[in-house]
Amino acid sequence: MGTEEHKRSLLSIRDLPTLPSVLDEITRLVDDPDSSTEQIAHVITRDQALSAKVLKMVNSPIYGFPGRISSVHHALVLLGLNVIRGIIISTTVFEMMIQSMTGLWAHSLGCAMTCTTLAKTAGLKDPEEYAVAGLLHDIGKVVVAVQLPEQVERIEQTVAERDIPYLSAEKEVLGFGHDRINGWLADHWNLPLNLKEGITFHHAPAKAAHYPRMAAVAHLSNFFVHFFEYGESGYDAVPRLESKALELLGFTLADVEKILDKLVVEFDALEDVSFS
Amino acid sequence: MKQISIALAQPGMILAKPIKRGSDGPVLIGEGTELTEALLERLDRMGVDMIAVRTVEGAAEAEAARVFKDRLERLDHLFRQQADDRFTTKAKVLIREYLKRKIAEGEGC
Repeated sequence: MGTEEHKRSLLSIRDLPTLPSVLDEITRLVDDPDSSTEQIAHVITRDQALSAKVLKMVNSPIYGFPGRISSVHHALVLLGLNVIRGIIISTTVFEMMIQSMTGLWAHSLGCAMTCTTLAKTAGLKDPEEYAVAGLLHDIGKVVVAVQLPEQVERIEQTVAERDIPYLSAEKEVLGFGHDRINGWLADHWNLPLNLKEGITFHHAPAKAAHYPRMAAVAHLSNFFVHFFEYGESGYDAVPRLESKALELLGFTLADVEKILDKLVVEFDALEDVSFS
Repeated sequence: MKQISIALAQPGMILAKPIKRGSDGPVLIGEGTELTEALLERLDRMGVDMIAVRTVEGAAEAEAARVFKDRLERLDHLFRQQADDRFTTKAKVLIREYLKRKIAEGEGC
């Protein structure tokens, strides 16, 4: 199979993870100027399993709220619709893979938590929105595993035999990496542009045309999660650290120390939470 | 751990160092013993004025120390792909110094 065929089979809608119909309903409500957050919360609350998952996530160390958020409505008011939408998408997509990809799920949770920490440290507005990019930054890997399982074996074999990064192996085997797949998926699922750029350019944040800081946060988080070896991304080495990513967030290398101080404590807290 | 005056000691605190008769004498109360009202009275009668107790942060510190040592051991392996990248290598040098300093600080307390 060539690159084009790989792309086609990846995006064949027939097998692509379908998102809960709740999301369509939510999108409709958001477009309706007369709708309220109560109505949106009500739509989510109808699905009890989904509400439970949303509440578990928003109460985890990823978002670091001091008190307990006990209702979906409260979560919506505090975190905003984009965050809740991102949580629904990521838990749904990962759920299909949770058995075989628990390592990648843990890696993504660690990345989400680190995104919040970095966004807060950098003084960015709505820091919780950045966590969604962390949750979804490797979603392309999940979709490859669903759609092209035999190619995943070849990618993993290439990584193991030649000790090269997962992204390089993907490019060799598929003709493109999970970063590009992320962009296609973002279009397919109508994700907001900031999130699309965050997950598409987490390996090259300077290329993000509109939301480079979202990509920079995802990039740095990915670096730190690899450093702490929380979860598994498919390759046990840190990715290249782009100086531009630090610059975009107003950090210098010296700030890495204070970031590590925070992350040591937070990863310890995240260890105690079970998401399965 | 921290050194506190016996006046501030509370039941439920855990001894971080044993209490000995004199500086080099036999151990009277072992490290790790939980303080009780009765034990505090006894220490007071014995004329003990300062004791070392475990702090809650002590547990977190121990955990952090383990993480720092572990990361230092893994550092070269984790950065093996980035030897040619100047900026990432600069970050590595800084992180190595950070980890060493944290480990030294941890051993100092």
